[in-house]
Amino acid sequence: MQEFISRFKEVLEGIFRGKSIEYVGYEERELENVFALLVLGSFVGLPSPPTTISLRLLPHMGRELVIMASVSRRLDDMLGEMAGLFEIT
Amino acid sequence: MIYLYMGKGGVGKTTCAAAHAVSLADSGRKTLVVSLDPAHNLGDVLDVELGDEPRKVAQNLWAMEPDFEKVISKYLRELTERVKDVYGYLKIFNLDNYVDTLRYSPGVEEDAVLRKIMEILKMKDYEEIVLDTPPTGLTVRMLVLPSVSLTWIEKLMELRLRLLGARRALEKLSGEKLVIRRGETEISVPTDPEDDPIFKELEALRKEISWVQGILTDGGRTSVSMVVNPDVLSVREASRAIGVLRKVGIPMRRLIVNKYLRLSETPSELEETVREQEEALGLAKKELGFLETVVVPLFPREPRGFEALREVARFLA
Amino acid sequence: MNGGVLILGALVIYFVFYFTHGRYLMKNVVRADPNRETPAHRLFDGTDYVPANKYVLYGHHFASIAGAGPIIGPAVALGWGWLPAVLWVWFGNVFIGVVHDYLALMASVRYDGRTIGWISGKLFSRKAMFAFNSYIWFSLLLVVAAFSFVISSLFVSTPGGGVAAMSLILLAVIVGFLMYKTNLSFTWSTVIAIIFIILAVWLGFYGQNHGWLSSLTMHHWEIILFFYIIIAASLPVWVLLQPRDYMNAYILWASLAIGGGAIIIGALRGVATLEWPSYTSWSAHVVGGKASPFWPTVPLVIACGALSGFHSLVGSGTSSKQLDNELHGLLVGYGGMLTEGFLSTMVIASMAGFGFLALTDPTIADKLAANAKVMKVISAAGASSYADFINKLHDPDFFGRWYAIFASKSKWVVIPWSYAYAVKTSLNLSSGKLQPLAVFATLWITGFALTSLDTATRLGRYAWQELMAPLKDRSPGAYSVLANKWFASAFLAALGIALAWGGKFLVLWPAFAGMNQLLSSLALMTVSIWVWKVQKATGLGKGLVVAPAVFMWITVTLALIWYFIYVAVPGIKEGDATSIVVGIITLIGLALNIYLFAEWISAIRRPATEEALAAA
Repeated sequence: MQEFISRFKEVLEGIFRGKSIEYVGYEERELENVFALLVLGSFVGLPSPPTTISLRLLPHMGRELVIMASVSRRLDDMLGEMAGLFEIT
Repeated sequence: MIYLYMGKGGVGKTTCAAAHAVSLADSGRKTLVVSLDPAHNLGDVLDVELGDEPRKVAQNLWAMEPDFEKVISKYLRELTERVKDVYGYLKIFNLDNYVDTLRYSPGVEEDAVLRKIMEILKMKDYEEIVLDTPPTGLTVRMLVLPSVSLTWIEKLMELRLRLLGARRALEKLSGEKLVIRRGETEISVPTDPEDDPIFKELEALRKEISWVQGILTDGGRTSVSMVVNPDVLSVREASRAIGVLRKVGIPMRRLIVNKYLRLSETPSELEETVREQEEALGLAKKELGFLETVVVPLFPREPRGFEALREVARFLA
Repeated sequence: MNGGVLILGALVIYFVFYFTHGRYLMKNVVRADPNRETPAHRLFDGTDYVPANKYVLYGHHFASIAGAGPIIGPAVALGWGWLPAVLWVWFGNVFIGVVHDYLALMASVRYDGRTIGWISGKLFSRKAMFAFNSYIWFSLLLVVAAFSFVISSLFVSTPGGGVAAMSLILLAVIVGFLMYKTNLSFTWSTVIAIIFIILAVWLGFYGQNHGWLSSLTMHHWEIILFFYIIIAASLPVWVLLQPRDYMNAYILWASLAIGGGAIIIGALRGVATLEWPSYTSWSAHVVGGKASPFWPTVPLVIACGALSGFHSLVGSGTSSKQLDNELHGLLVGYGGMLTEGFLSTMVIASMAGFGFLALTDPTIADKLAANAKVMKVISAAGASSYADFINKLHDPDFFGRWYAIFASKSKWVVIPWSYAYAVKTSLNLSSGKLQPLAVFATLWITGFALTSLDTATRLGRYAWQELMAPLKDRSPGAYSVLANKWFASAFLAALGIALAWGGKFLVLWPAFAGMNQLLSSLALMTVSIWVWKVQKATGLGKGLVVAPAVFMWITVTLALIWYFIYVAVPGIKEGDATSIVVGIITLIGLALNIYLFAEWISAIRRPATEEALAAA
């Protein structure tokens, strides 16, 4: 019984903590994506900072690259993706 | 003091730069003259052989022709080694081949030249440094590079701080540290500018580039001279370049009208030419009158060697 | 009849179906494999693709699909009597709704967490994805319209609610700043947030009799909402949207606990007798205020609660990327939808049991009797006074004829007040608690609705830009004006508010629900192709999916045709702007729907190989 209550509390806390960071999480993901695009855009044809800046930052951008790759794979139905993120009804 | 000589290809900036350097050395100042033009002809003008390191060519005068291919390659190799190290587990592209293509990436050549300049500037052994620059286009791009880079860096830092703030909020509220898991490796993700290698790198870059920008825009340390020929096209191009440089705070000191045809009597075939010269001079006075203007005549033979350069220097004084 | 029977009925039916029907789908249709790596693991990226605990994900999914929908829909549908309403909530849910939600979720899991729209493009045709996006845009517009109306109505009928909601907005901004911009811990921020919720209710309670906020009319509120929409949708998410959404989670939980608990206790004590008619007539006057046949028009009234297209977007948008193990899908998708059905059941029980108490409450009675529009309806119904009208409502035929129209004109005051009476009576509280409870209920419903307005506008901006994309090459000048962010927001907000302005709720709500059902119909068609061609399910398995899909398609198409002819056209003839816009939208939706059905048939008949190759 004790274990059940503590697990129940854990789950409840998980739900509410999650609720508090949903949208901020998506915003953060987009910030990472934008940062990656800005710095590395030259490698995909976007105007970008002087190559030196990009190259100096590149070694540290593991996470940003992962996110950029993950997001770009889903660009062909962004409206659907976004509609799923934001609660409409 | 740093003297930059700019101008279109073939206007004679190497000659003017060399002449100036010679006169500075003659007046007892320890002078270094450097050719930044990948198509070096400083050695030809001085009539000596030059190399990658400063070589003493006369009393108080050193000269060098840096190998830019080497500069660029070395720089790129360093960067890509670092990238390859960190990205061992992520196959993005085959970096070895990429190194060669990167050298043609916009900004790499300018950047390499700029770095060489900074290296040179740090050489404390010289009282005066005279720089013979590449043709106008490349030089302008090179000189605005610090200012452009600073703008980019500022924006990226702003974005980065916002991003880190969002990460902090996420970490605090979810109660868990942010982390990326790729197979077995776990990489923790920084939330503080202090711990963020990207932010620190941006800060370091900003420091370096501000230093460069500071020197270039300081009228007391840097003097830029634009060399033109007495034709309208040459003057117009110079005017545009000067406009761009003023926008980023780089002060122009002198306008040198080189290869001015001085004739005691004008033959009919050259009347047009002489008229154009005057037109060009008039245009220069109108658009660039705020500059100190100096006219250097066309010499019967292309000046080569110290004596000839001393002749040229008389007009530059 | 004791209201507890409804609660019990829901529990029993839902449980039985979960463990039989649900399990069957899981085993034989989805073929859930616990050893198969879900996208949350395979495509882990630390933000979107992150495996979540089964129960946490269930809670999230439910909170995402819950909103004002499952409350308003059933409230309107009571016009047919509580029995038909609850039967649709039960059987529509278990035969159609959960199939839709669960399969959309699992299909997405099998396709790398891609959206249902993308999947429809793969399995169906490219036009299907375009149709999805068009439906989404129209839905967003209608959400703005319908919910603006609901919010304005509830604010006017329970003015304290308006004060509470506006206070909550300001307080949420403070919470947002504290939570996301300072170092204040999660626990302390939450404590402050909860205190603020109570403060908002308190302010609402005291504000409702003082101050000018309580004398604002519907049109005033609609104008306020117009500006609110545009401003809110252009703020960073942490300022208002996120903190308010967080606080809404607590309000939802509290209202469910209080309301649900109260009903159950009330049922056990025997005070929750259902007083409203169990059945009024087949064609009660509900949709558009016209005599509307229960079938096929009930989906135009009860959407969320029985079947809602938006759930497939949430399921395939977020939840599928966070599923830790394929077996969890049943709880999350199937279970989540059942829970929403349960919520709707409670709303029905509460309103049918305590609606009369609410309508005969002295404050309410006085207010409504003094309202000219309400009195017009009352005299049109042939009643001599307000009290007489309420009396007559006891007669099923009369109820069916006049309930929806009356409730709408009285600004749905019956909803929060039924809730208030349900709690007060069941828990034997003093009458003084009625007002705060009504304010709380208003805060609950409008809190969700206000968030919906915010998110609908944000999305609508982007959706609009996508729709304008073809113009980019053909007419760059027009494109740059039309696709401009501010124009897009203003256009959506203006059009939405304009639609709400006309005050024709019974026309607007079915249009919104109809668009929602078009979405769900399309999703059902998509998953039925998946089940038939890719999964190659057993005969019964196929039947369990394809039959609802076809049934829904027929129902929605007939319902919308009926709606167009009997509701939109008369309105258009009168030159009513709302009817014209809604009529056009309905026609476009219908046209797409019919076209897509033809595509569906040909997709079903196509050889199976291509679809099978498309699956991950």
